[in-house]
Amino acid sequence: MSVTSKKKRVGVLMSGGVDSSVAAALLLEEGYEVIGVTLQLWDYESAGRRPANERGCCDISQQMDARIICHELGIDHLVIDLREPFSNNVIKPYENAYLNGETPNPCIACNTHLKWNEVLKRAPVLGFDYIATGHYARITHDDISAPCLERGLDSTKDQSYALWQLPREALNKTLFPLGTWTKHDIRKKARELGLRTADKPDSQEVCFIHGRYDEHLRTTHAERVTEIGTGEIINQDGAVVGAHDGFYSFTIGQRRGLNISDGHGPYYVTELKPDSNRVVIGDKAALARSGLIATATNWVSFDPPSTPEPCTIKIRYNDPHGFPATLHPSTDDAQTVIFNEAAHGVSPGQSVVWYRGDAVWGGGIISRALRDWEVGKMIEKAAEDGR
Amino acid sequence: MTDDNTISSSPQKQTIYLDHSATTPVDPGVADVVQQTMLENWGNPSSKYQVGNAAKVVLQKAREQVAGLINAPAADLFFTSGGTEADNLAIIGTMHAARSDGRGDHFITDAIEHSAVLHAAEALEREGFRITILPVNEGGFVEADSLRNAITDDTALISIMQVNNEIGSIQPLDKLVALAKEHDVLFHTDAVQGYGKIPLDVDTLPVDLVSMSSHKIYGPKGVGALYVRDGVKIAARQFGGGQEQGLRTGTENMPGIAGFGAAAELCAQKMVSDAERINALRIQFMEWIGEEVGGDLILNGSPENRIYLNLNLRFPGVEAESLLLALDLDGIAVSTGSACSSGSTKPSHVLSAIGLSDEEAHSSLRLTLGRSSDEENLKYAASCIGKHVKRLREMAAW
Repeated sequence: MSVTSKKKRVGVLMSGGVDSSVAAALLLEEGYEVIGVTLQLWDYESAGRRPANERGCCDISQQMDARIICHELGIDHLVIDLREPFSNNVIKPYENAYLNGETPNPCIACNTHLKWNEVLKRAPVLGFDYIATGHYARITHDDISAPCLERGLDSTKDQSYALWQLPREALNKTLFPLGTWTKHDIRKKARELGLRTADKPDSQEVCFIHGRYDEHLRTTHAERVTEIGTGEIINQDGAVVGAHDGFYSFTIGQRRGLNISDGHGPYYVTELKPDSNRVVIGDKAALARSGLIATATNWVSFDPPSTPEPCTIKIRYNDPHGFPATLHPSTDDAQTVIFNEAAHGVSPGQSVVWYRGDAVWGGGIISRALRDWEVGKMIEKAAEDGR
Repeated sequence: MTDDNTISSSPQKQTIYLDHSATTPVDPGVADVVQQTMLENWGNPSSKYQVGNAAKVVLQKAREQVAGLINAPAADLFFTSGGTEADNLAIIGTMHAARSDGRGDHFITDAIEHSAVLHAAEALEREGFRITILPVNEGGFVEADSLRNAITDDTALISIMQVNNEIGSIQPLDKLVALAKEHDVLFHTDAVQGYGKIPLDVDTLPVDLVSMSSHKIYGPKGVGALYVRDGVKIAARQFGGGQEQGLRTGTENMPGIAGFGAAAELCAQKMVSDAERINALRIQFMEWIGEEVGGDLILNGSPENRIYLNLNLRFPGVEAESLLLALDLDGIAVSTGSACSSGSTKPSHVLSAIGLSDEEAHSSLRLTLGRSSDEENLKYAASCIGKHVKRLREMAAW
């Protein structure tokens, strides 16, 4: 028998940005056989875009940057065409969420369905022992327990929030080479390596949307948008205080674009009522919520609690620390989360992620925000049930 | 980090190239001619001094070499930037000339042409020309009856390819061209895939226009040619100093043209031996693949009247795109249709036209052999194909 073991092969998902470029370079330094993988997720047609200068599939410059980086690193590069699953699992649900009065996280859906599910199912054929990405997150393995998804060490860049939907089985097949790095050091490393992406700005926007999402909806769902038409803005008492061009243009907590100047502002969007095409506004206090119900839950690192247990939750991407809450045991997929203190901006459709220390315990999609009195009733009922 | 800009695939891995219908590696002898043209015969053939004369000689020699391969007079051969330009010039230029002479505005082509022809037809349609796209039968052949029924008094041009790029079908040009001539209609053939590989003799086949390309015959990219039978009228598409008898003006791509000539010359020498050797290899290759995958594979298109280097194989239950990626990591280059045909996941228009369902088209792989193919590398490729096909089939979930 040969003593030399074959190098482990890693497919690194490369977007053409600095993070994934360095991820590939770091894995090479660690001695893996590295294959660059870029996903072709959309084209102008599948994303409902009609730029004046229509271009085909081969011109997406991100892909080209990834390809050139791979060439410079001396590794193979593959493009996997996933336009159809991206359209079905990301673009369409994204559009439908807004049209249902929710605020989606398309990048999370993309991570789950595209970067992991679609690539992992191809891994046996492509010979990948692992897949890797440039996310700032960690996977820790201790001796006894299963692997655990944790926050990246750079708390300003931590991307664990966007990974809560990963299937637990995927953790054994995933590498996050940037988990212990800071963004600053990654850029430094990229410069040292002479990578052309070293000073490339971070991507901020939803990749398939150019400009405003509501303009996108007006193009792709013209009929539905016309059907929805204009609607009323109402206050907390239900009185009509203004008009709007369609509820889907608003998100919870939004201040701008309300055009209400009665001198008592500022006002915030506190609720969207898609059935009646109404946008509810109120002052900052009216935004406060005391809990939420999440569905489509996933328990990536640990099992659900059997008794109420404390945790830290994040209800939006750009919230480095999150806030304390309690997870209540549930018998079905609807997970009740009660906040220790009232929080603002609980938006249905967004992801909620619960942490135990640095570990991503699990998460779900916010289906409903709970008001103070609802939470009071629940606690009362729980106490009765427990007697 | 590499500090030079040379493009090569990963080190230590040899590429087994099985996509000769997409392009071919430049023959080293041809590359020498290209280099020599750049470094020694760098003159402008339009110039009147000796340096220009030398370039003129290079140009004429190449023209004779390229034309010679289809037995055409050199004076009837016009260099272009490639097959696409030759197709566009032939089709749009001929239709425009026909319309202004009152010779009709109807153009006939078929469903399995290259995009260069089909998209040129669409462009004509937008300009108000009438277009007929003929179907093909399940073997991938245009039937004479369907052509006969499509010809009208207004038909000015018929364009039917010599060899299909995806399924290798060799069209019955003898019959089809004869039919066109009975009705006094001009005939263009896109011979990009057959030129230099199987005979085409414009002396015996009364075709009027023939498109050719250099990079499919081990020559450089960016150069092609259009044969135009003497007397056929074409409206030029670009205007300038009058090179190529004004039909395709602009200073000639001399290195490319010289390389094209050298590549054509090499084809003239090797045509018979290449065909015999590669055909035998292809038959063996398909047998080996059949053994490796356990027999469950189908040859798309017709086994007869097929160019000797083409296999288009369908592996039921296998997503060909994944097979392509897996083979790529083994260093084996194959294709699943035309390279970047339309920028979408639509199935190949050729496979659809011969009656394949979307699912069947998506499980089809194109393997095209060439001069570098040998028993050893094809045996290895067959074993890799077998390995991946089995694994993909085991993963029935997708």
